[in-house]
Amino acid sequence: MSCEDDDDYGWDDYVYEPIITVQNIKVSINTISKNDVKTIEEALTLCLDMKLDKLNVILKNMNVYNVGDCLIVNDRYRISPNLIDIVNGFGMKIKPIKIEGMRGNTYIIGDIVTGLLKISGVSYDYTKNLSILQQAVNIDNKQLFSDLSNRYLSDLELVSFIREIKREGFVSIDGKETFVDNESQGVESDRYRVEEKLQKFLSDIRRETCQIKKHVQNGTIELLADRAKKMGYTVQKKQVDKQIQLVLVRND
Amino acid sequence: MEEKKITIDVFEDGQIHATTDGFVGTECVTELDRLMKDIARNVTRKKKNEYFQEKISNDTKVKVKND
Repeated sequence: MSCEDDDDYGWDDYVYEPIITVQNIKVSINTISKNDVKTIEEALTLCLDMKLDKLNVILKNMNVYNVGDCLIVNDRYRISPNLIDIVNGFGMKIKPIKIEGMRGNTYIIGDIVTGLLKISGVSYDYTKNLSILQQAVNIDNKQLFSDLSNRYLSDLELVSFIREIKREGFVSIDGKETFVDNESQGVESDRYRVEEKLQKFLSDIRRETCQIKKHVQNGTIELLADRAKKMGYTVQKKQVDKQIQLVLVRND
Repeated sequence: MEEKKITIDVFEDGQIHATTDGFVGTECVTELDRLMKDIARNVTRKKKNEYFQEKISNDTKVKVKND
């Protein structure tokens, strides 16, 4: 039999057709671990603890209520006219509000930390640092801060990722693995986008916790300046390298 | 009129350094305690020479005698 005879067997008509199979798989992402989430929660809680510990020097003389993630502070006897500067010094949000039945000055105070903690499903317990009155406060919800870390909380995907990490230890997303003749051609998934999102969240949180030292430093300065003014000193503030200097002068 | 001056440095790590000028005797400690109450904890003090001086006060009293 010659080679030409092969035609009779139809070899020239043979077309190689690879067997392609696509398999749905789960892709695990470990950009942030369960331990990272725990560390984030602890660091954020500590941040707010430090601020409130100092701020309590002034808040303990006022009536403090807890509504949602915010504090309602009633300075009934107007003992601290500089409260806004002091709270801002601590990097917290404050705005004056009107509440029926409350005399003097009333403010709402909030901190981005409570919103960030909410992402992983944690509610900050104000009672451990402050003496909170249990009386119900009749407040219009529109007066509350709604933008505390809203940019994260409104990202439902991120919230679900963080809570999944807290529960399972990793994020699991859908992926497709393609096989050609039983040989894997790789996995197609959103992995890089999700990793990038988690990485950005992690670095934002780290930046936030790094700022805390600066906030506590500024808040302490405002507290001291406020007290010094009440003691009759003129106050001058200046930045010297990394420390902030207060020069208090009084002529007796 | 005596000028009393307190210079306070607040560091990023939470440390607070304060120095006083123009105070005599224990007056500076009392004044700093008032100023730092509940804000600064674990206080260490370094006393200056002025701390060991006595405050001299001149109270001028006039007695009116009605004979």
